[in-house]
Amino acid sequence: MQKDFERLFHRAEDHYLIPSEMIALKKHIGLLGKRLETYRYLRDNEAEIFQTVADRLEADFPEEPTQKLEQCLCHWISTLRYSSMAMLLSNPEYLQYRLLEWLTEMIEAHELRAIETRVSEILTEHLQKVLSAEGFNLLKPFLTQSETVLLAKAAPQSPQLAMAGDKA
Amino acid sequence: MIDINNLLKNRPLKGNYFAPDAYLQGDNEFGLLENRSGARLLAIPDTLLKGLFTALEEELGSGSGIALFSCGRSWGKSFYNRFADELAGYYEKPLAQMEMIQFLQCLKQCWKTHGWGVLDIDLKYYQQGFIVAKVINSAYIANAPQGKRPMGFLEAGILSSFFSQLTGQDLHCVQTTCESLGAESNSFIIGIKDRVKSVSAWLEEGHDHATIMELLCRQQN
Repeated sequence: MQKDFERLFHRAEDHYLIPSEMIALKKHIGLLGKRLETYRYLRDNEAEIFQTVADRLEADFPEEPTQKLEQCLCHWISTLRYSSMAMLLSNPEYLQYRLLEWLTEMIEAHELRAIETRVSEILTEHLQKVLSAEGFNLLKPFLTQSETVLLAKAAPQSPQLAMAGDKA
Repeated sequence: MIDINNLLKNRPLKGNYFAPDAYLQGDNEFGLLENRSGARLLAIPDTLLKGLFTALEEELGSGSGIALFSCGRSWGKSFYNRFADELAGYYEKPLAQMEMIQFLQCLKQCWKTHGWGVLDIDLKYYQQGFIVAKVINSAYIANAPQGKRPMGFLEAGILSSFFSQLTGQDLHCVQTTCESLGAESNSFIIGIKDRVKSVSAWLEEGHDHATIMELLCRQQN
């Protein structure tokens, strides 16, 4: 779970932690406090954050159907939830396996890349504004990880799919 | 105008049900392996798989393929039911309301998390009535006799009954490429039995997967 702590605890075994390890432990505890603070802010302000993103998104894509925009927003609401927990745990694998690996192909298949990219940009901009510099820096690696995985691949020309029924 | 509060209330925002760290649960002390819904999982050692393949070859010769296919078919049926129940429960919607792409994505993750290899489903030939499945690093085929013939009978059985349940039609599945014969992946063609029956003959004539797909589509037209 907490990779930073795990390493220290495993190293201790039959001896007390040495001074440099104690310093590292204190540093991690301090960081954990800050992560928790950022996590709590994101949790308590989720609706406000995404309302701002949604309003700007609607202004940027007035022609797109609301349903499509809502779908993209949902993807990023999930992404921020999973990213926040990954930040709290300091564990990028959590984000990768619990969400990104699974979501990427769905975004590709729906050909939503242009809107998704814009949501990601607006969200990052907005978070940079509302979070403290330190809080934003703690979250940033996970936002970058999400962008890289979700938006990196070129969108293939896949058809809109319906549930299989009578065609196979 | 989009109302986020409304969106948060009405849409489940869940991620990957089959994420390995969440899906595989267990109790070392009791030697129990379970999935996140509490269903028992079975860890099969390579030696046992090798033994099964060898014993079946020994007892049934080329008929071992049919036996494995039947096992896969009956396993696939229960597998589909459990898979569908668990997904519907987790994502809080009946399977019929789930998008095909989400469903397939879950199937692929499920395949990988169970350690059966990396599955890909190609729907390019869907309109012609065929689904192509590819499995890379198949755990079953890695333990099967090598260099003889396509050995993915068990997987072919699972895939045929899984997609039969999904589509409500009796589908068959034939393997066209196999890692045990040096191919990069294991390819399976799924379709109605009558329509895929020529595949085995074409394979014997030495046609490759791409040519067989072409021939199948031509036959359809």
